[in-house]
Amino acid sequence: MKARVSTESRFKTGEIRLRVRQALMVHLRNPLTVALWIALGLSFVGSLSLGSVVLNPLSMMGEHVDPMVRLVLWEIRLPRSILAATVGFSLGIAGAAMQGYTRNPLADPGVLGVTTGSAMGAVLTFTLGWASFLPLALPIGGIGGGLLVLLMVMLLSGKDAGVHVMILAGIAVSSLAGAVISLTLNLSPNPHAGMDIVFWLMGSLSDRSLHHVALAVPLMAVGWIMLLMCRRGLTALSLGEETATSLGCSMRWLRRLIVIGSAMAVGPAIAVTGSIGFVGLIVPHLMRPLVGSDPGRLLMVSGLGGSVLLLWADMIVKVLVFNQELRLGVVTALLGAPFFLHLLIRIRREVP
Amino acid sequence: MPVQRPRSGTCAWSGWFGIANRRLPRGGGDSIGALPCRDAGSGNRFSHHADGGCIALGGGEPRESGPGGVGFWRKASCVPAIRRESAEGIYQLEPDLVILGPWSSRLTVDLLERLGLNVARMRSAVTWQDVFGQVRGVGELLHAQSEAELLVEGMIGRLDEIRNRTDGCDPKRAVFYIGRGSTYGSGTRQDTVMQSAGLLNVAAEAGVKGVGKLSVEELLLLRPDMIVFSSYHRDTPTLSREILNHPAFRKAAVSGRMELIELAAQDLLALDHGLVDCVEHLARTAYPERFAHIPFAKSAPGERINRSIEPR
Repeated sequence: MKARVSTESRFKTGEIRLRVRQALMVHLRNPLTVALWIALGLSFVGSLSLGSVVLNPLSMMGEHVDPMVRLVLWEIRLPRSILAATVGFSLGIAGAAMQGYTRNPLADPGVLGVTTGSAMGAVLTFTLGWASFLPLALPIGGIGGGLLVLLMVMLLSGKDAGVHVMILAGIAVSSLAGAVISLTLNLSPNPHAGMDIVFWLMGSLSDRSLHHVALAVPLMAVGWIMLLMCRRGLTALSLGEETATSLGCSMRWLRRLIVIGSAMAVGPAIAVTGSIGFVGLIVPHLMRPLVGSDPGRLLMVSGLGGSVLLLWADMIVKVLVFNQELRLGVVTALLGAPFFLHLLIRIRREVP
Repeated sequence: MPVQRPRSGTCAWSGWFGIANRRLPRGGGDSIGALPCRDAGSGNRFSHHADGGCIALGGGEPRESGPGGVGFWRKASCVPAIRRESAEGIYQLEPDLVILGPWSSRLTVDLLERLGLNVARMRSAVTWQDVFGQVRGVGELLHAQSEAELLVEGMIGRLDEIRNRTDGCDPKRAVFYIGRGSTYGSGTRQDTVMQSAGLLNVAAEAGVKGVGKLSVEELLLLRPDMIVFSSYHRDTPTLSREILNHPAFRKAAVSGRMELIELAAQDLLALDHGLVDCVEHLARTAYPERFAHIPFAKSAPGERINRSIEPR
């Protein structure tokens, strides 16, 4: 019996590895993917260089480098750039997955309520004072909030729920989490605590450390892998649920992979950076004309596009000089809102 | 909470937005409810003892006002309290005088004036001239001009002494860090305090005016000798101390490149000797050799929380 279980588990592990490898190979053969990887690399170097002073990351390899400058590069800029790239990837890939799964071009990772849940978890952790005792309490609370909301959505929508029930459950739970955030703000113990919450909710990558990277990136990576495994399922789903089922695609399995994968990718991202909107909505639309309407092919390129977009948005934050720090969530919203309107107008024109 | 009627000759004060409700130590025989949740209007504080009763106005944070707080709040404990900044709540107290800060709601101010109350508005004090002017102004409002003048003279005397001791020193570079990536630049009371202690505010030097942006990266590259915090956030859930947990900051601080100083928030808000205490503490920390064998001339012995702090 034991041997049978072990063989089955080995088979499953092998199958997962094979599917991930296949997915990666398909994407690496795509010239667009290669171009996006190059853009990501250049943007990453640009992000490392830009800041209050322009630094050349390559010159940091030498021996005669000011220790303070070296400290700034390795302990401040590097984590910021890594987080910009990985959070952007999470938002992009989760946005593409949600749009593919719901077959709705206006869907984004927030549909399931995980983003609001993460924000709620972080805000509660902060208000209860835990953030003062444990340095990483805030992102941990954010991840906990995201997972709690995910659990609620799954319980509310039931085992074999359709897309619409899932979205409704997500909206309901998201509204509840939003109400908890508002209540916390309303009852904030002092004005500074209230302002802290408001500013945190605007999203930012400044002053994050490698501890945040170590906490969030492994969890996000699990989410990415789960979403990349849905590639074929999403392609089949684009033909309709019945056709996808007849092609051997398990809808229940696909739904779980997408929901949990999106939550794992987005929850830790929001927990570390605060709310960053519109990336998950815009990027799949920017990439769709380049790869076609196959939602499976859109996953990887949307992730890479999200990374590049967020790195650029963060560079804008660094370069623009205001008396107060411009928040990343504000920049992405300023970029995203006009695009959203453009999208809406285009849809209205297409649908008579 | 039962509303206490004020005694004749007292005033009410009001301010801007929510501060936690804290019960304060009760003054001898004078029963009060809770001091206001809504205060800190002017960000200023002035204490005055008159006619055997207490009159208080202006800011300070109730959270700082527990047993470790300065005597001001104990003196203020007989002043009637309102729980919310509402014209109705203030009007119920039938005050002879209402003192409002610059952040008070315009609607509240207008309504109070229309209700026929005697309303005085205070502005934030930035320079020492502002501070002394406000002390004198409040003294006038409360018919306690001589006491206000005495307070001003005492403060000027102490400031002169600190200036004489720090004169000729190579000025140390300091930053007053607020958190959330912000600092106090030129044109702020904190800048005035640092200058009076013989320090160079590097944020102001870098062009920051008022409350301005300063990330950890900028902070480290400015290479300050001292980083000053306000104790306001101690024991309260705010993210302002996050910087102390950042590895880059910790490495720089632990290596002895910079010293961290915490000033009592209630002193920084005070328009009395508490503010001079902040100056003296900074000057003593920056130039210990100039103050050797000279006892701290603090106004309320044993109640200060100005101290050096260690990064976690």
